[in-house]
Amino acid sequence: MDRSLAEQALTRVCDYLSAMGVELTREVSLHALKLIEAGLASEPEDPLHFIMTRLDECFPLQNPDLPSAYPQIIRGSMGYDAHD
Amino acid sequence: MISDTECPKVKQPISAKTQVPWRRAAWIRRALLTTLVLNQTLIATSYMTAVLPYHGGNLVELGIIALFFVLFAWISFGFWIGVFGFVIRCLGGDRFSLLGRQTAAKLNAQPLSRTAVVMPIYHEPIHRTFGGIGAVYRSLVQTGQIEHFDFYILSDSRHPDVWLAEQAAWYRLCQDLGAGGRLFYRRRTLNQHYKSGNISDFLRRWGRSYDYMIVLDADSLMDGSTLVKMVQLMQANPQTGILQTSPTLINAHSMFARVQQFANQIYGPLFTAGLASLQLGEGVYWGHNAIIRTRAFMQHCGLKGLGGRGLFQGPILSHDFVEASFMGRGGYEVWLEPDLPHSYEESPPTLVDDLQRDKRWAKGNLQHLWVMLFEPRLRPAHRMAFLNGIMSYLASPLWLIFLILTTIEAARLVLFPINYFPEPHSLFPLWPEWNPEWAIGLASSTLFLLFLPKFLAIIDVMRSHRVKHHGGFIRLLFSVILEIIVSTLLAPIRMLAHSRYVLESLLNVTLRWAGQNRTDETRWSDAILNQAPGTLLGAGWGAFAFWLDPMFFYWSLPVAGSLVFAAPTSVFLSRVGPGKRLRRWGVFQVPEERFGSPLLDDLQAGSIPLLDVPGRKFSPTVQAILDPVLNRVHQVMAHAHRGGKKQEMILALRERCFHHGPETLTQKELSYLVRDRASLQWLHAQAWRSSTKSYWGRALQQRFQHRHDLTAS
Repeated sequence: MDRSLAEQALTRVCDYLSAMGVELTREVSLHALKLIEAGLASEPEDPLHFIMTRLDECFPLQNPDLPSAYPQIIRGSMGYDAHD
Repeated sequence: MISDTECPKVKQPISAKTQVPWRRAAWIRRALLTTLVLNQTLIATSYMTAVLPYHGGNLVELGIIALFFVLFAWISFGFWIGVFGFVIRCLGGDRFSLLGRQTAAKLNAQPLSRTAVVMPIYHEPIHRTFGGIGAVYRSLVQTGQIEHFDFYILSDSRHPDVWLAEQAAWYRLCQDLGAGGRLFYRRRTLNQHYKSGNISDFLRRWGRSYDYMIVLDADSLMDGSTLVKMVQLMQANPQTGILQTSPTLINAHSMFARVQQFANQIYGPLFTAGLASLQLGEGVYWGHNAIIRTRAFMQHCGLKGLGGRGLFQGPILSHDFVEASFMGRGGYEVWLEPDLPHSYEESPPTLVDDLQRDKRWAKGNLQHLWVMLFEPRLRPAHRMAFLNGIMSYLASPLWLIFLILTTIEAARLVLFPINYFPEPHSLFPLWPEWNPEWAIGLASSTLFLLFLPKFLAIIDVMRSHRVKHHGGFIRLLFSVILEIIVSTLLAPIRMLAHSRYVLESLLNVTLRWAGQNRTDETRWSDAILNQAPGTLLGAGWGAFAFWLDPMFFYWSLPVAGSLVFAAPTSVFLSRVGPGKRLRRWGVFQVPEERFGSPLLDDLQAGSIPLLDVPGRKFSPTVQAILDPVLNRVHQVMAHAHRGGKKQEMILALRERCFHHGPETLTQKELSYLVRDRASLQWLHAQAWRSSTKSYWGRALQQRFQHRHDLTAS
């Protein structure tokens, strides 16, 4: 049986939040449900766009602390024909 | 990060004329080797001349004698290297070597210095590559000296699915090791000059930040304590430009790889000790598992393309020997240090893979002919090292021509009337003489030279109390005999393959025959197709020899028989099952299999959570777009475009990817798209907002399901 839009929306929100390191506490879950409710009320046919667009505003999503890919460049050069 | 002014100054290298103790020893040892090889070869060649019916009285016989001289000298050289190594090891090591000249206390007192551990990669298996670098990192952490080392993964990978997976693996590895700011990843978008260009690119950007650079291959493993000792040796010997370890083969599973691994561990110590004792401070660099003085390397080892024609034009494929010779020309020493432990690499799993690698090496080594002949002011020892490398491949076509000439000689004797007057104006007939007992003696002495070092290696294992490492004496002896059989079966196959590679290289063409094996084990169909030319040649030659003279047939059997059975040999040796069975029986056993190895255990434990969530079910591109954290990782490593036509193209690609998925893009299009920061961000946002019926909506549902399954299991 296909899952309802509300179920799918809740799954998507929870998955995104947990991937971003947000702990799914009772408070966060209630907040998510409210967002979904607002989405379903505003866009009954396709609430996902509405919900996911507002995720940043509704939850304290922080950018993950990423390591730097490489350090500061200190330019040097290769020596050719050093024997000349 | 240290600036140029803070970087400690390298002491001036020594001049080639400077008197250092090892130079005298090197001169004496090389003179002794030359005398032994020349005398042995001259005696054997005079025997050969006597064995031939006309004693060199016609062109075919002259050709046979000339080739025999070169090939016997080559075998004799290998034999004496083994003997030298055996003697050196019996004497407790080389007192002129870098390690032999230091006390442990002096070495341990050396302060460490900034060192970069670099691993150039190109479409390598990600789990193995990043797992390996993780194991090396952890091993260094255990030494308590990690603060002196930085790690760089230098990717040349071209396919976006490969480099996106590499970037994801790099991030996960940083997280796992807590190595942020110490483990770096850089990908070149322009792969000029292959691996040497990759290293040069690193040096141009960050070389001045480090005193030393340790180069690892994708399959390298090195213990942290060994890395620390290498830096200390370099610190204690400022005239050393490159210090090369002797990597031991480990982690073999297939029959082929286990045979190679066993041979490497039993015979390797003898030959590397012998080689090191002759090269001393004029050694070679094998391209990995070595430490390099960065400033000296940057100053002297820039590689220009070759200036000749055909093969001798363009980038140098095998750069390592050339770099070592340039370092020598710059006044620095290059050392091979066989006694540095825990330096590992892996063998190709199958004969097909091994020959594929040989194909690249054959071309690279033949290119060295140009460097050897025309590059000014190289040290003679390095010119000899080039010759040694060239002969490693050139010997094969020479053997092939030798066999052809001996067949012609045999055919002439049987099919054509005897020519009693080969000299046009001679009054005296020349009676052809055939001395089979001399021929047997000569063949026996050749076999003696080939196999005696193997039995010296057994004595060396017994002398150094390593017999139990290899399953006890009976298993050791049995393994050596089995290895001799396998290497005898493989020799003609290699001879034919190498002859083809040399011909291809010299003509600067590729002679295509069948496809490359893409599976882990060689399939029967691939093997039969791949080995068909050799099989037909072997069968034809054997049949002709039998028709000609049954005695000649028996002489040809070791070569012809091996070629006829090349396909089953190739298939059987590629199998992992027999390799495992022999391991259970203790055949071809090596110490790491019996006692384990912390590095290998770490690697095999698979403790690095690379790409395990949401799983390999999704392509790295799909993960790069969907995973919120990985998407940000890739964004950071991507570029921002400034508009223009390229930007218009990227916008179109972005739309196509969103509506129809990344599978509808070509590799080049995908590369453009996922290198664009704004596109990655846009696609990520749009994918998560997409309806459940869309491509990305379905992909997200699969992702949820997969995560659910993982949690449930």
